[in-house]
This record gives sequence, C-alpha cells and structure tokens, in this order.
Amino acid sequence: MLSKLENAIAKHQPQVIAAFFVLALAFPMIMSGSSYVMNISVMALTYVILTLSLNLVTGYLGTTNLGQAAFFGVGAYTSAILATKLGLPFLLTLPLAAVMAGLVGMLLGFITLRVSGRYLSIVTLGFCEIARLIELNWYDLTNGPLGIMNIPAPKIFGFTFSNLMSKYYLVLVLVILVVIVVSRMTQSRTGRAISAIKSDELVADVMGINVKKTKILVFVVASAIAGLAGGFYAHYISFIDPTSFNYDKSIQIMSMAILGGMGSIPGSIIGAIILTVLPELLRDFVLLRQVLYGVVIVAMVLFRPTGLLGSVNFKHILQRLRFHEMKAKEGTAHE
Amino acid sequence: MGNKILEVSGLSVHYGMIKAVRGVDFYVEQGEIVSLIGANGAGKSTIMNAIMGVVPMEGSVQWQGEEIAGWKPERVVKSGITLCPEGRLIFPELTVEQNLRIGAYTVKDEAQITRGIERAYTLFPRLRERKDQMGGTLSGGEQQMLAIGRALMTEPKLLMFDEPSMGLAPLVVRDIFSLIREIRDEMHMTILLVEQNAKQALKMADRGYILETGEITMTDKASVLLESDQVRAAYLGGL
Repeated sequence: MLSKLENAIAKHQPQVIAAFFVLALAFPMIMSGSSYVMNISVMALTYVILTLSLNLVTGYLGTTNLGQAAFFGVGAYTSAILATKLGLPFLLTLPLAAVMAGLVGMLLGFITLRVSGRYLSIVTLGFCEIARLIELNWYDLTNGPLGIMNIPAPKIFGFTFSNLMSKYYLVLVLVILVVIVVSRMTQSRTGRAISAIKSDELVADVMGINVKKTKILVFVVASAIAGLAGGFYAHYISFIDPTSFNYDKSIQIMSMAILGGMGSIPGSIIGAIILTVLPELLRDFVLLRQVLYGVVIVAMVLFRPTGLLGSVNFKHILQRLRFHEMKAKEGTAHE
Repeated sequence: MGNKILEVSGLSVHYGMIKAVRGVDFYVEQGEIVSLIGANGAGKSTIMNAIMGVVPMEGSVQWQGEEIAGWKPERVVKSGITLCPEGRLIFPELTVEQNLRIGAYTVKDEAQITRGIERAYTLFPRLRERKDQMGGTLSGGEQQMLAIGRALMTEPKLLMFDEPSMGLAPLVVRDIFSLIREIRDEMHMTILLVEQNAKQALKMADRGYILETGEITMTDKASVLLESDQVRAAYLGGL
C-alpha cells in the first residue's frame, strides 16, 4: 500500500508540491488563526529549518553532529544582542545571525576535519556544551541565566510582524528559502562532491575533490541556516535563555531528521512537523517528551533505519514507472 | 619514446612505525604501459596513493620534469594524472551519469564533460542504458566499466590503474586489459598499472617491475619477465 502511495506521489510530484504549498498558505485561514495552533505551527516550521540544516551535515555529508542546537543558539543570541543592545533592525539582525553562526560553524568545521566517526560526535557534543556555558557565564553580553528579554518583534520596512499569522508567513518564507538553498546545493556539482565524500573520502580525494574545503563549506552553510532559524526564533519568542539551546535540543533535532529520513528534504519537513505536533497532542504526558524522542530514534533505527522518506527517491520511482509503462506498451505493440 | 614522463626516485611511505614502501625507484616513458607486479601488501596501492598526494611520502616524483611530491590531489589531477582506484570504488549513491561527472570534477570545460560522458557510453553501451541507475546497483563488471569511464573524464596524460582485475571473472579481465591497450593506442595516453594478476598484466605491458615487501626486486621488459623463472615461480604458479 505504501509503495502505491509512493508511486502516486512520484507521478504527480509537481501537483503534490503545489498542494502542500497551498495547504501551507491557507493553513492559518483554515485554523481561523487559533493562536494555540499558530504557535505550534510557527515552532514546527522553525524546526523544519533546523532539521534541514542538520540534514545537510548528517544526512548528505554523513557527519554525525550532536551540536546543531549550538548554532541555533548562536543565531538567537546574535540577533537578540544586536537588536536589544545596538537597536539594529530585523533586516540586519537576521542575516547577521546567519553569518555569525556560519563563522562559528567554520570553526567547528576546522576542528572536525581532524576527527571522524564517534569521536566527531563527541566533539560536536562538547561544542554544544561549550556554547551553552558561554551563554550562561558571559554575563555582560548574554545576561547569563536570566536570559535576554524584550526582543522586538520582526519588522521589515515599517511593517511589524506582531500577530501570529504574519509571523507564520514570515517563517514560511524562510522555510521556502532554505528548501531552495538545500536542494540547489545538494543537486549541484558541490552536491555530487558531498555525496562522494560521504561514500569514500579517499576516492573523493583522488577524483580531485578538495575534501577539506567541501566539508567546511557544508558546515558553514548548515550552521548559517541553523543560525537563521535562531535569529527568527529570538524575535518571534521575544525572550531567550541558555536552556533553549542545550543538548536536549540537539537530540530533538536529530530525532526529527532520523524520523523523516537522512538525506531527504521532504523527510526533514515531515519529521520536524510530526515531532513538533505529536508532543502537543500528548500534552497530558508532557514529562514523557524526552522519552518519546528516545523511542522514535530506537524504533527507527530498528525498523526503518533510513527514516520515513530517506530511502524514497521519487525521481527514481518515476523512472521505474516510466520504464514499466514503456515495456507494457512494447508488449501490446507486439501482440 | 625515450622520454621519461614520470620518474619516481627514493619513494618511501610509512604508516606509523611500519614502512610500507622503502625507497622505490621507477620511471614511465611517454606512451608506455608499465606494470608494477606484487602480492598483497607489497605496497602497490600505497605507491599510487603517494603519487596522487593522498598519503604523505618521502622521495621525489618528477612529472613532466616538475617535482610534484607533496602536491595536493586536486593539483595532481589537474596536472594530468588520474587514478582509477582499487576495488572499482564508484560512488554507490550517485547515478552512473553523476559518477561520470564526479570524474570530471576538476574540469571546467562543459564541452569536455559532454565529450567524456559520450565517450564512456560509446565504450560501454551498457552504461548508457543504465545512466540514471544508482552506481551501487551495477554488477562488478559494469562498475569497473564505470570506473574506467570516470577515469577518462579528465582526459589524463597518465592514467594509473590500481588492480583493474580485482574480483572480476577471467573473461571480463581479458576484456578490460585489451581495452586498456586500446585506450593507450587511441587516446595516446601513458599507463601505469599495479596488479596481482601478473600473467595478464605482463602480457599487456611494455615493461614491468616486481615489487616485494615495499622494494623493487626486478625490472625488465614485460616479455622477459614473463619468461623469467623467478617471476614464474613466484607469481605465475610455476607454470
């Protein structure tokens, strides 16, 4: 049954994408702007961005990163500090959040070139912890455990995104932007290089691919995307403190990517949405939230290691279908 | 002929405490096919990787009169040397065509890329049929075809093969070796190859070197090596 659904989607890919797009656009209207639903939706879309960014490093490049929340935090703190201390406008703080996270990502990228496998995971984990400790202890800059309050709502050319619906559309635009960047990047010449490095670094090297440069590029772009999510989040939620960007958050993002499927853009989107909405539906068991993430990771690793959509390549399904159709036609022609 | 396009002298490689290659000297002349013959662990692959700049080495590698020891792989590839690596090692998650494009990663000229893809499909029509298939789904022989097609993408002056016969059926091995000769003759390339399959490799080559535990113990014309009692005893099953 599942494969029939996959076939149907593969055949009508543009229509399916268009339908999702229309649904995303009309969603606030359908929900008649219920603030509870809109809040969750905005968070879900923020997580979509974060999951896509992690997917770039972990899914496409194959580098397990347990510190993606750190870049989310760097972005959030950058835009919060710039907005509250220097009074910079949203149109500057958001890109600067991405730039800052990208620079920090470059740093981590250089460090990770020297280690691989599980050692690398530990380095990223430690990195996330260092970022949190800096946020917690650099009192003058970050206000320590008290966090930063009164971060202004996003404002572009005099228009303030004050109500939830406008913030929803703002983050939707960011999601679309990030989807375009990730899909362009992974389908380009660089994307092929990334895939080659994931398969075999040595052979990629022999092909003349600059492995170090490519790896760092991926780290920079992925971190910048996470930073962008952070920049938006700070302005959206208006209050940030170090607890929002700790190790738990990294694991949360990782479980979304694992559920949706590594190396799949639709997978990242679906994984992030499911794992944002599901805990809300199970509100009565709020203490079990972390358990849920754990169960998801274990279950996926056991039963479907490639995630919901990680092994589903609609392009290839379509090719297979076309091939069968062609064969069928030839068959009837001979009769 | 008579023009040493590649001259390696005193090449040594250590892996930690272990000396994998100990001061190897050899050369390849323009248009030649040269075989390095050796058993498992003799250091054959290490030599190729050292020339490519993937493993750190000591000694000198003169390529077209220029010292290239210590160059990064990217620069070595751009200078006209391509390695077709051991065990085929195509990229399983990329399609056949994407694999070919990866081979041309250092090539900026779109016309050359198109020409390379077309060349691979003409040499191996099977690849054209499977151009959108994932590399990992190809058979062993097809993967070797893809690896060769991919290596030709850069239109190298020196093409190095690391055990092209590995894991292939004897008939396929013969095809691959005769193809390598064809490539040399028609594309005017110079070929250096390392092999365990001494008989086939020496039959095809102009000259050969025998490598034992990281040292060259013998060198001569391939036809002479084929007749040599010592080589026969060690590599040709005493035939």
